[in-house]
Amino acid sequence: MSINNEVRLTPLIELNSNYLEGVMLVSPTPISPLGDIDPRTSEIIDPQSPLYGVSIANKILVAPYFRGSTVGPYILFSLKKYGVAPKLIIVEQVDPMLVTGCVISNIPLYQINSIERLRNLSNKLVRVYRNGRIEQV
Amino acid sequence: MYLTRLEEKMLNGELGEAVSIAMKAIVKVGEILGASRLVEITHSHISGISYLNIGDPGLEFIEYLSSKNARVRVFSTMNPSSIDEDKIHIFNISKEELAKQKKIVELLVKMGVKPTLTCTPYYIRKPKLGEHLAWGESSAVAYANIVFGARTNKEGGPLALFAAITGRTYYAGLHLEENRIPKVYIKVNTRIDNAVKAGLLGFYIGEVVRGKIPYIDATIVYDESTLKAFSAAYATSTTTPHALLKGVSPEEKIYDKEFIEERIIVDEKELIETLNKLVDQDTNESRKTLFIGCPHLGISEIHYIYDLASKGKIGIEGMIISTSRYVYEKAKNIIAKLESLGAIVVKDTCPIVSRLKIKDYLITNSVKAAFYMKRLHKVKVMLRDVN
Repeated sequence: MSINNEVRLTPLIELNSNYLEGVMLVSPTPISPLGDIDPRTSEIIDPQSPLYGVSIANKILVAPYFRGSTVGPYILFSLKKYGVAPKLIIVEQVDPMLVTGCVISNIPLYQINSIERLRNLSNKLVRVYRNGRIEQV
Repeated sequence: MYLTRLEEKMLNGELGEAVSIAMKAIVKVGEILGASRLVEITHSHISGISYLNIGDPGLEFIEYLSSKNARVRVFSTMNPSSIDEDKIHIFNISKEELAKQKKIVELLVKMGVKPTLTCTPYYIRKPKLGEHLAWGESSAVAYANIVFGARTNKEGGPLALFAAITGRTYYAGLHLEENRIPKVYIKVNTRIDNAVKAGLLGFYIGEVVRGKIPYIDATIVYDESTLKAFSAAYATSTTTPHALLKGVSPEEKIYDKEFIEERIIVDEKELIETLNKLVDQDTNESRKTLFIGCPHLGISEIHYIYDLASKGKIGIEGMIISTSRYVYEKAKNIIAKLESLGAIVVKDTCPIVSRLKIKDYLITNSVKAAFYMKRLHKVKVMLRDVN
């Protein structure tokens, strides 16, 4: 188990447990829930996204920020209802719609100053602690 | 977060369970976004009305609030739905979907939300300078901030509904004067004289400012169409839908060059590049559908289209025009004439949030519509001004 002491996330909506584990998925581009994510399957449906065709279900989803339609929170809520929501979301910048979506869907939300710092953990199994510590499993 | 005694009561459930649910969510969202208190609002505009967008989970969310006897405390309006009930045959919608769409509107009406079903709530109640709103339709949010100097963040549909139920939202973002000060100075070196150009300019600026507020020095032929097109396209690409437009925005006086961190020059070249990024090259127009009405047309815009059509300056055979039921009612006679010339005028909805039957090529004057139709409905798009 390698510990990355340098990287620390700021908790915005904390985990309910002490830690969780999941595969980290890094989207280098911002995500617009309505139009980019299929609410039933959780697949990324934006053909321009490097994650096109990938499911975000049960992943630790990382993106610079979220954007797009004000229906966005309902898309996150749908993912949760259909059991295909990401386990946790990490962004550089927060906005009212992402926060609203995570609050109504009980999706933990963490912040980092630069997602570049998580690039080397992309597609790896990682453990995120409630206090924001993160390590590769 | 500081709460007044009334707000404490709302939070604790003394004013009912729905108020408490709404208040808890607003406080939580506000705390994350750094709000020190809440702010009373005068008008909530609720998005996420189309069943085709919010699905069964969205309907269940609204049903849940309704089951807790949710009632709005302030003037509240609704965004478009997925149907014009007077023209059902032109939509691809099943009986079940239609029933669920009606249910969403019914539940909200029961809560006291006005069934305006439009993205242009400013025609129904004009916002005042400095007034706090909680609006959940991006184009209207930008229009309220830029053109009226009212204060609203771009709220998600559920939060706008919570704000309606409590009469409050969190005091952060664009509600604070300090966050409305322009940090980017933009000089536009090309004349903006129609809705397409205004839309391209808005979309381009939204992409380059990266969430900062711009002061825009441009020669724009200001009318309802260019301002709405600019606002809608700008709100499509920015996360912070506010800007100061020289000669238009009532808050222009807060522009101070001391705060400017960045200067950007926009030439015709940038607009052409933006156009090429948004539209498709295939120009087979035999399968085209013409569309005007994103955002929903106002009365004067409908008169303008009729004026052009009746003089034979434009062909409107088969053209889809979308507007609100409010405007539809006020412009009934002129709309009947437009329809006799072959236009299809729909109210309460638009091609973006519905499954309106269109051919596989859409020609529109709306940058916002072009952007979303391509992404959400996978049709080819082309931008062209009405003239």
